[in-house]
Amino acid sequence: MSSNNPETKYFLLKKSKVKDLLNTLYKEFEIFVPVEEEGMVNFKRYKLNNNFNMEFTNTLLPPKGLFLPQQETLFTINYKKEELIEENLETSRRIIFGIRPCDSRSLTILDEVFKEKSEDVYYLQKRNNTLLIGLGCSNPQIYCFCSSLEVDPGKDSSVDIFLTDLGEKYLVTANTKEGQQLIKDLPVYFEKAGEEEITRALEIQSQAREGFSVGFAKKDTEIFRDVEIIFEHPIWEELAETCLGCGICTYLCSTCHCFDIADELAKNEGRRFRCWDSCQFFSFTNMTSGHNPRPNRKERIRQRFLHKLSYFVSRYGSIACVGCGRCLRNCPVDIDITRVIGAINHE
Amino acid sequence: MKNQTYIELTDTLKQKINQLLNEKVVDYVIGYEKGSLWFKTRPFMIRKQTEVEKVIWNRFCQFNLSTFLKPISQRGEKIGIVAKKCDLKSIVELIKNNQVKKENLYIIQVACDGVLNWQKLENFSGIPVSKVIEIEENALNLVIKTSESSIEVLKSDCLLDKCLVCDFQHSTYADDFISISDENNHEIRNQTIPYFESLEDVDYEGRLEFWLKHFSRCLRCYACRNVCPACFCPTCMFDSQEGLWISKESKTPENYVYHLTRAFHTATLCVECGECERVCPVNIPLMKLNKKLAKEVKDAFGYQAGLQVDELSPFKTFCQEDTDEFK
Amino acid sequence: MEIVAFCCQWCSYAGADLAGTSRLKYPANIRIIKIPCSSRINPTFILKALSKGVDGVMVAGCHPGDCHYSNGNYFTRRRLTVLKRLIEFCGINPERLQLYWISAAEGGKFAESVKDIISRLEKIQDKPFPKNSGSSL
Ligand code: SF4
Ligand code: SF4
Ligand code: SF4
Ligand code: SF4
Ligand code: SF4
Ligand code: FES
Repeated sequence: MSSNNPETKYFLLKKSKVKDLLNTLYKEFEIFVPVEEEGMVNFKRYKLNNNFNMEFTNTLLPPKGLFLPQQETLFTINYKKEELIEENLETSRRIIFGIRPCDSRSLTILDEVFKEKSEDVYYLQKRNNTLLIGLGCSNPQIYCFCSSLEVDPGKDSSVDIFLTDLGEKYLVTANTKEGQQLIKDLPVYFEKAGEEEITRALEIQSQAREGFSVGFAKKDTEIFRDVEIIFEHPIWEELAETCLGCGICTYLCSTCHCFDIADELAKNEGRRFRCWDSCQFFSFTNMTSGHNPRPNRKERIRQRFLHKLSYFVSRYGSIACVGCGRCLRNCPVDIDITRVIGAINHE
Repeated sequence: MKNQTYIELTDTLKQKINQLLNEKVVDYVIGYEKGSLWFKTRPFMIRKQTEVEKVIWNRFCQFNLSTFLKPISQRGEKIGIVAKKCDLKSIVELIKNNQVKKENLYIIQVACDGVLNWQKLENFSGIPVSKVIEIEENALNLVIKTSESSIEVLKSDCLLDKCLVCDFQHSTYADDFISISDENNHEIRNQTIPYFESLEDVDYEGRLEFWLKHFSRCLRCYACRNVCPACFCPTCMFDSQEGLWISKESKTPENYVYHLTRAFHTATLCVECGECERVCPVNIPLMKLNKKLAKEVKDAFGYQAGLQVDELSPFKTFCQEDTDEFK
Repeated sequence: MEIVAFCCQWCSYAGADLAGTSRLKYPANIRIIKIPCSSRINPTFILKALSKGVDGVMVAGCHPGDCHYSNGNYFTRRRLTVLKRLIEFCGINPERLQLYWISAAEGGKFAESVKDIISRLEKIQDKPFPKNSGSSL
């Protein structure tokens, strides 16, 4: 997270130099780059001269895991010595190289949650230590609908440095002081951009906004403000008939952030950790008494949608969805948030 | 995607469903409707005649609908179900294991010429699904058209693995068989796919490494379990509130326990429909486990799941003379 | 070496007792867990033990034909035959899983069985599941 600086500057970075750049940055930063493995692209820790794949559409798993890992130890207790050992907070400086606009937007959404009232140091430490180098989308995928959520796929000013693909090279935009500093420190990689390249990049950026296959109109989300009406809508029953109650849509979602906290004991040691949890699981709301306020898939699937479209909006002012399309791509039964919004408004 | 056969089949299927609802033979029918994207379909519970129009039958109807016959999703009504040949096998298992009563079912088998896997389609044609505007079919190939070009790929390259060994025959368990001609003119694409064979020459450490690498990716989203028609326990032991068998953390050894248990618990019930592997978001080769177990069960007890309703599962019976390698 | 033994309460558990009271010597590496019948074994028990890095698991039940519940052990025999193939396929030497038939009167056989599994495990080269890599649960 960095302070915004209105004064942006344009540079050029040759694609052929990206590896050298990463190798240089590697000395100071822990870098995460998109890497293709087993037919999936995901952010992986960069090691010297590693291969990476910048021609990816988007990563299968959202980058939220780099800030809110699927599991993370909070502290351990040694019974014998009667001491509590706090988990060391991440202190290494990190870079995410190639984060897409929808996903960087998801981080600002998560920030709201982890900063509210008490600050979540585990999350925030990682967030504050991380520089984001964003990558614009010139070719939105068939399941993307970020533009319905006011995310601009072509242009992202929330990241420290933003890259626009010009074919052989990237147009580099520094959005923050930290981003500018990084560029300033490494002049061998960044040349000044000419007028012509800037114009071409702006064109590419604006083109990205076209060509979406799915989506919804902004006003269609207004109906969710009135929870009273929407709560008993028949669509939840309908969705529950086919929803499998798996964890795909929440685990793969860039903005879902629910976690469970548990303690585990070993011989002389106790450990408290947190790990992802999903509102789609029965156990999510099951109480010790055996009572479960969300006993059926209907209540659970409704929770997923209403949390994103109603509750989050009234609490933080924005929809907890960035249109990355991961849920749509991966749901085994093709439950599609854009269709749900459309159906509630127009059927 | 245009295919005359499928269009005609869809029409006949719609008529059939209409008739079933109209004559109140069933309370609802589980079928397919169009998905959000052209290469997707979604399961669809048809309750009203006005909904019948939405029914489709095409080359992307991959979902094994029989999973909705698990008691957890039933409401004690009479159900009609659209089934492919392969889905029939899991219906047989569900009936056999008292999860659904045959008299509460009306099974509509639809002629199937293989289901396409969109990821294979992308891989073999090199064309992302977002660029495709039309697919045509000829005898052996798919012609994939974009606004600029058209590419032919072998049909069998893009089918689901299971379709390559399917015999497409009419099953005697179906109440209805919707097909265009009575003749079966499909050639069996008897291609054998190496599932577990590749691991057979690897030593134990290599195998462990192979599986740990895959299991380390598992998110424990439990989609592979929830989608499986053979996973029908009312409460899965991994959801049990009485005992935590594995940690909530998705650590590799925990995942190892989960996966081997899942595979073992479905052994003798698994009909190799491939749904678990298809839905896994992180591409874990679960079918290797299932196929291996199916083979071991066949070798040891001569049993194959999903074939006969009146055949007893080998784990539910025994012979005093069973081979005893333990003594 | 660490071995977990799941012993049926009607036979092998009593057999282990007898081995103890008869002062028969057997290696001390085993941890016995009492179960109501060998067929109580859920594969998860075995897998969990193996995934924690124990060197071997032995399951012991009544002799075929003598199960307190008539035929539980026949089912066990079928299941473990297949389970052995599964763990073998997933990288655990199948020798690490043994099933023995031991009656309550066979204190000697119990001691022999423990020795047997240990000598089998001593012969194998490959490593067990990495220790302590999982949760402490
Ligand atoms: S991914 Fe689909 S099936 Fe799974 S819980 Fe989400 S909506 Fe339901
Ligand atoms: S709800 Fe779906 S599209 Fe929206 S952020 Fe989550 S995964 Fe992405
Ligand atoms: S309640 Fe559900 S939708 Fe909301 S953040 Fe948690 S898991 Fe995601
Ligand atoms: S579907 Fe895949 S990721 Fe999810 S629990 Fe199963 S194997 Fe793990
Ligand atoms: S284990 Fe997989 S292949 Fe077997 S029946 Fe279940 S979903 Fe189908
Ligand atoms: S009672 Fe001993 S094995 Fe069944």
